[in-house]
Order: sequence, then structure tokens, then C-alpha cells
Amino acid sequence: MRVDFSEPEYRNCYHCRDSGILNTQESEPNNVIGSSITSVPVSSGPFQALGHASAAIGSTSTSSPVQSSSSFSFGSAPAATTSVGVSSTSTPTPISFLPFGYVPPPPPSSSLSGPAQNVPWSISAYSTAGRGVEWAWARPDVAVYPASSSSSSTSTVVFGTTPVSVSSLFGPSQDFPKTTFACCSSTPAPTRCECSFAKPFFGSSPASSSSNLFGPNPSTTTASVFGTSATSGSSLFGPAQHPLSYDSIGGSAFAGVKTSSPQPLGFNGATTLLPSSHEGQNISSFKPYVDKSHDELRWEYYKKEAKGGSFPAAHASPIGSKPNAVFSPSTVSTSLFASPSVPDHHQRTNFSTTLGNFTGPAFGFFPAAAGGATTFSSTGFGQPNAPFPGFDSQFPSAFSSFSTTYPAVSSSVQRPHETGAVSSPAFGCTACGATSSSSASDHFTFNGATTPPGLFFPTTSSGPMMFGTTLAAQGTTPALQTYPVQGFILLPFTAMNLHFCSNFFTFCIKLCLPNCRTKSLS
Amino acid sequence: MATFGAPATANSNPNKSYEVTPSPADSISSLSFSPRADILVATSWDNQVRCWEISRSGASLASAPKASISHDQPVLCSAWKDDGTTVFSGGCDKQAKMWPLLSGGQPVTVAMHEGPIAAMAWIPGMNLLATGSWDKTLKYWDTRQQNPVHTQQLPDKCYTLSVKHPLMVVGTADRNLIVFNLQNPQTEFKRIQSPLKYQTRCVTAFPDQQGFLVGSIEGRVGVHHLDDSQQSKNFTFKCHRDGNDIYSVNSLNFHPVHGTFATAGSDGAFNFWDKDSKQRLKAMSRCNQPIPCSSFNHDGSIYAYAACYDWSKGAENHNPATAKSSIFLHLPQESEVKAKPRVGATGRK
Repeated sequence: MRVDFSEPEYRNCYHCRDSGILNTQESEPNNVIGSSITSVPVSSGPFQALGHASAAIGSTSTSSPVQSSSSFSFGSAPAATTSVGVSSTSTPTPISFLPFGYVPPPPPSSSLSGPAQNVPWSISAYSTAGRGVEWAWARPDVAVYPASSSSSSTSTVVFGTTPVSVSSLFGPSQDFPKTTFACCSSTPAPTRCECSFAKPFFGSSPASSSSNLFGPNPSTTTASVFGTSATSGSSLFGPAQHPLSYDSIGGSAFAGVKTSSPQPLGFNGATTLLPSSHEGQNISSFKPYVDKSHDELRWEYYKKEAKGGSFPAAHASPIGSKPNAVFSPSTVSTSLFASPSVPDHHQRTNFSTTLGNFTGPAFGFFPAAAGGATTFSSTGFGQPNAPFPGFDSQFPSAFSSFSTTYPAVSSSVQRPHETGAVSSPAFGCTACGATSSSSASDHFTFNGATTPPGLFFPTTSSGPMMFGTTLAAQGTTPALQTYPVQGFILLPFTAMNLHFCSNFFTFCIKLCLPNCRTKSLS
Repeated sequence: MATFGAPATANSNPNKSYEVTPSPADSISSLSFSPRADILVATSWDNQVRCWEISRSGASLASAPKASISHDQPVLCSAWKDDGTTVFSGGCDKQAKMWPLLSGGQPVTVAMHEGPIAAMAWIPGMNLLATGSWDKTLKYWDTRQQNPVHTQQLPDKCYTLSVKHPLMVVGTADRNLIVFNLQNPQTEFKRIQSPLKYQTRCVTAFPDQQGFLVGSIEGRVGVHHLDDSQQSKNFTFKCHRDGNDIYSVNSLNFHPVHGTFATAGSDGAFNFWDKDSKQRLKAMSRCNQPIPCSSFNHDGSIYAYAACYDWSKGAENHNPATAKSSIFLHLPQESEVKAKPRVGATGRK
């Protein structure tokens, strides 16, 4: 559709200019034909070489020598009359094409193999020929604008640049377009040249035209090669009228050429089969995806996403395990919490109960002792300061040691007290050495307590047996409970540890039972 | 099989169409009505096949979700058995499943391919399921057998498939259109190059089995007759275009009664046409999303179409965060779908 739309414009332009040019050509061909007769022998060689386009090439080769001589004449006579200028304007066009057609065989190879600088030189040679053509064009410019010299040089550069880009970028393909253009030039060529020349000239000032024409020339040439739409050409490259004419001619003359030309880049940098002017391009219309439907492309995308998604899936698995892991610790913590708390609570209960039981008997026992000791302590306390204070301090120690009996520390604590019991041996020594003093205190106490001193001595001498007896005595006499404590202190020192432990526990049990009974009774 | 949802009805729409709820989580790939009842099945890219029962109450429509099944991968196509008891679905998991919907049975796999199943159709006269795949094969399945009755090699990937017994038309990549006479299913009746220059998007056979419509990604539809003597009736026309914007023709559906057809495209519009008079009967307003698929119910009183992204502009235009997939039900007026005598110079577009 776009092509259909552009064709009328092209036809109009072609028709109008072609009709105008045809009149001019009618006069020019006569002159050219005359010249061709002169150079027939020369054209035979090139003619045979380019046999596939014999008609066009024949005419081109025919005009080549003539044009060169003509160009020389114009060069030597730059101040020719206006009428001569007009005739020269038409004749140089075929000359410019003939050199391209003729020169490519030998010089391009040498220029290509030679250094880069040579290429420009060879191009300069072409440009010289072109300059000849430009001189022809320059005359009207000179006539119209004083600054034609600069514009002339600019034009020269334009023509010079075109071959460079053509030969370097698209050698063989450009040959074909050249041939195409040559073919087209037989009729519309003058129109194309005239149009392309006129528009840039009038479109901009010499200075700006110089920069514009020189700068974008390579790109415009490239664009013309890539571009397939005259509209797009004009819209993208304003000053590229000359390339535009090539494009339009190529497009109009050879659809194949147009088809083979690269498509403009479209979506995702891919070339699209639909005209670039069409927006809303379908993804499947782009070259890389032409053979894939929307669904195929989508499925490919989803699979890639799924591969990316597999990571979340894999991650989900760890997440799945993490909750379990988290749950397990919580379970463990719960169990840990439960087990420590319950035993701890139970232990505390037991401990407090035990402590309470222990305290109860202590208090129950102590008041009784205290009650009994009211008289006893006043009398005895004054007399046996040394032993009694020791007992008093040891009793609390025993109490605290009992409370801390379960921890090992209590045992160690007890040991020092037992070491403190070394004083007991001293006491014993005292009994041996200071028998009078200890005996006196004990005797005095016992006398006060109405207990025979004789019982005390047997207790001291035979610890184990007396200890048992002491316990029995404790059951019968509250005052005797004091003695068991004393006996207890002495017995560990003299008795074995194992025996001591068993006795101690027995003591505790018996100590607790009465207290319980006391409570129950109360 | 899962039963879900609750009845849902109308929603705002440029054409005052009724929205079917709940909407699938991802784009809808196909819509198909039961040939016997107003039961609509939709397949989607979220691996689901969903079923709604459509009921009419006066001038309005109500949709009640009934059931759904899952595939392992996105589902691309669906087809109903001619008795309306069973629906088939196929997709990227390379499997076609048979879902005895009315009996409430479990779906079973009845067909397998080496590539995603892109199109399928039930062949009523033969009691066979035809499945076309991206593995470049077309297979005929007897649902009682594990192996295909026949495997037909295609020139390229199958994109679309249409059956009007005994006519079957298969559209493949590379713009191939293969016509089969199902009375001789093992032989290509005719293979032609699409009259359209761009990728084939959809095909649908004429109700009278005399030809087919073909739609392409270039916003153009071709009307092609099989009889050589009627080649003069062949033509193409542009549609689903907006100035220089060209959209693909995603769906072509003939009206079951009037013989006119509807086109739906990536531009979000659907239109009704009469090929015989070469007229456009009605141009509906554009939705804000492409229409990837559509379907008429058994009597043509309801036209269902999906509005969601169809990947026509690639992945860059796909935004899962904002994407919404909707199914709409349109009650076409008789004047919209009934052919009318051609008057004046009103011609094709």
C-alpha cells in the first residue's frame, strides 16, 4: 500500500521532468550521435566486455571518448556562452556514467590493492572527470550565485564521496545499481540529476550546504542503500536528494533490487518485513521471529521464566524445609521448656518441701532445746564459752550444710567444719591433757542437766556404739539431742566416710519423721 | 476436578459486553462453546481449563463457574465433542486430555505429540480427534486407543486447524494451507500457499464446506474457495488496522445460523462481516487489550471473546503485574450478524 501511495508521486515527478527533459534530449542526442560516429572503433572493446547490456553500454561507450574531449573543451573555455552551457549541461550526464562503466575493470583492482591513499587518488581521478561534469553544472551556479566556486567544490566533494562509499561498501552490488542507473539514465537520468542537484542547492546556503552535504554524505549514501521508501528517505535525510534519486530510480525500475535491499531495523533491532512506517508491528513480522507464532514466542519466554522460576521452586523447597526446621526447634524448645520447667518446678516443690520440713524440725527442735537451754544456756553458756560457742556455730553450719548437702559445695563446706572439728581432737587432747577443764565443763553441764558424767565418757571413747546409743537416748531425752549433735561432729572424724553417710541419712530420716508427726499432730 | 466460584455478571466494557468471572490468572488461549448447550470452556496460559455455564435472564447474561482441570503446562486449544458431553484440551505439555464434563469424570490423556499441541478439532463423522502440533504432524485419535489412528506429516509447524466435515483446513508456518477431504484423510486434497503475504494466524472453514477464511498477522483476511471455477470469488480485505498501525487477525468465527463471520484482532476490536456481499456489517469498539480468541455459541446468540495480552508485540509489552485477562460475552443484534442486501457502492475494506 505504501508503495502504491508513493508511485503516483514518483510518476508525477518523472512524467513532468521526463517530458521536459525529453525535449532537451532530442537536440542533444543528435550531437552525441555525431560524436559517437567518430569514436566507434574505441567503443568496440568496452562494448564487447559489457555485452549483457549492449544497447545501453553501446551508447555509453560511444559517448565516453566524445564526452572527454567535450569536457576538455569546456575546461579550456569556461566562459562559454549561455547556450553552450545549456548544451554542456545535458551532454556531461552520459559522460559521467560512461567513465564509471569503463574504468571499473582495471583501476578498481589496483586501487583496492594499493594503499588507502591511492583509493582517494583514483577517486580523485574520477572526481576530476566528475569535476568536469561539475564544471558544467557550476556554470549555471556561477551565473546565479557569486559563491558558486565554494558550492562547486562542495558538489565535487559530494560526487567524490559517493564513489568512495559505493566502492568500499557495496562494490559488486553497487555495480549493479550503477548499471541500473545507466539503463535508467537513457531516459530519466537527466531528470534525476537535475532534480537532485537543484533541490539541495536551493534548499540551503553555500556554507551550510557545504557542511551538510559533506558531513552526512556517507550516511546518506548508506541510507539510500538501506532505504526502500522514497518517503522515508526524504524524511530521514533531507539533503540526500541525490541518493534519493538513485533510490527512486532503483525502486521504480527494479523491484528485485528493492526487495533485496536490507530492511530498516525494527523492533528489538530486528529487520521487519512490514514497512517501517507501520506502527504496532507484530512480533512475528520481524526477521528473527518470522517463522514463529505469538504462542511459540510466548512459550519460549515462559520456559525461560520457568527456568528462572525453578530457582524460586528450589528455594521453595528449602523454605519448605525451613519451616520444618523452624518447627523442629520450636518443638525441641517446647520439649526443652517443658522438661526443664516441670522438673524444675517439681524440684523446687520438693526442695521447698524438704526445706520446709528441715526448717520445721529445726525450729521445733530448737525451741525445745532452747526451752530446755533457758536455764542450761545461762549456766552452761557462761562456763563453757569455748565449746558451746563452737557447737552453736557448728549447728547453723550443719543446718546450712544440710540445705546445701545436695550440691557438692556443701560437702566441701562441711569438710572445713570437719577440719574445724580438729579442735575436737584437741578437745580430746584436752580431755587427755586438759581433762580437768573439759571434764569440768562437761561434768558441770551434766551435773546441771542431772546426767551422770560417766555416760559422757563412754560416748566419747566408743563413738559408733555410743552414737547409736546416743540416738536411742535422743528418743528418750530431749536434752540428749544436744549430745547427738556433738557426737555427730566427733563421729565423722573417727568413723569411716561411708558409715558416716549412711548414719547421716538415717539421722535425717529420723529427724524428719518426728517433725512430720509433730505437724500431723498439730 | 475442582468446583469453584459463584455466578458473576455484567461489567463495564466499550461494547457493553458481560464479563465472565472469575477471570483466569493468565491470558486466555482459546474459547469454545458446547455444540449443544451454553457451556463455555476457556483454556489459559495458567495451565487451567475452566468451564462456565452461561444463562440468559431477559436481556442480560450470567455466568456460573462450574469446574476446572489442570494441565502440566499452558493450554493452547480446546474442542468439544459433537454430542456436547466431552471437551478436549491440549497444550504445551504435549498432551491432549479428554474431560467428560457432563458426567463429572476425571480427565484422561488421549493424545500425545512430540511438541506442544497448538490446535485440535473433533471430527464428528468419524468420531476422531484431530490434533495439530508444532512437531509438524497432524494426528487422528480414536479416544479408545492409545495410538493415533493416523499420523499425517505436515510441511511445517501447525498453527491452526478448522474442521467442517468433510472439509479440514490446516494452517502451518511458512504460510502453507493444507486442505484435507476427510473422506480420504490420508491424502492432502490440496496444498496452497496462503494468499496473504504474512504469517497465518487463523483459518476457519466455510459452513458450506466450499472454502475457508484465512487470517494473518498483517491485519488482512483472505476468502478462498476450493472450487477452481469459483476462483473469481476469492479476495482479500484489510481489517484490524488503525491508520498506519497494523494488527493481527487472531480469530475468525462463522455465525452458525447466518453464515456471516466475525473477526477479532490484536487491536482489541471485533467486527462482523458478510463475505458474499463483501460488506462489513458491524464494527465494534476497541477494548484496551488484544482479543486472542473468540467463539459463537451453538445458535449464534452469544459471542464470547477474551481480552488479554496476546504476545503480538513480544515480551517487552508483557507486564504480569498489571496484566488482566477477561472474558466477555456479547449479545449480537440480528442486524449485526445477519447478511443484508448490498446497496450502493459500499464495498469491502
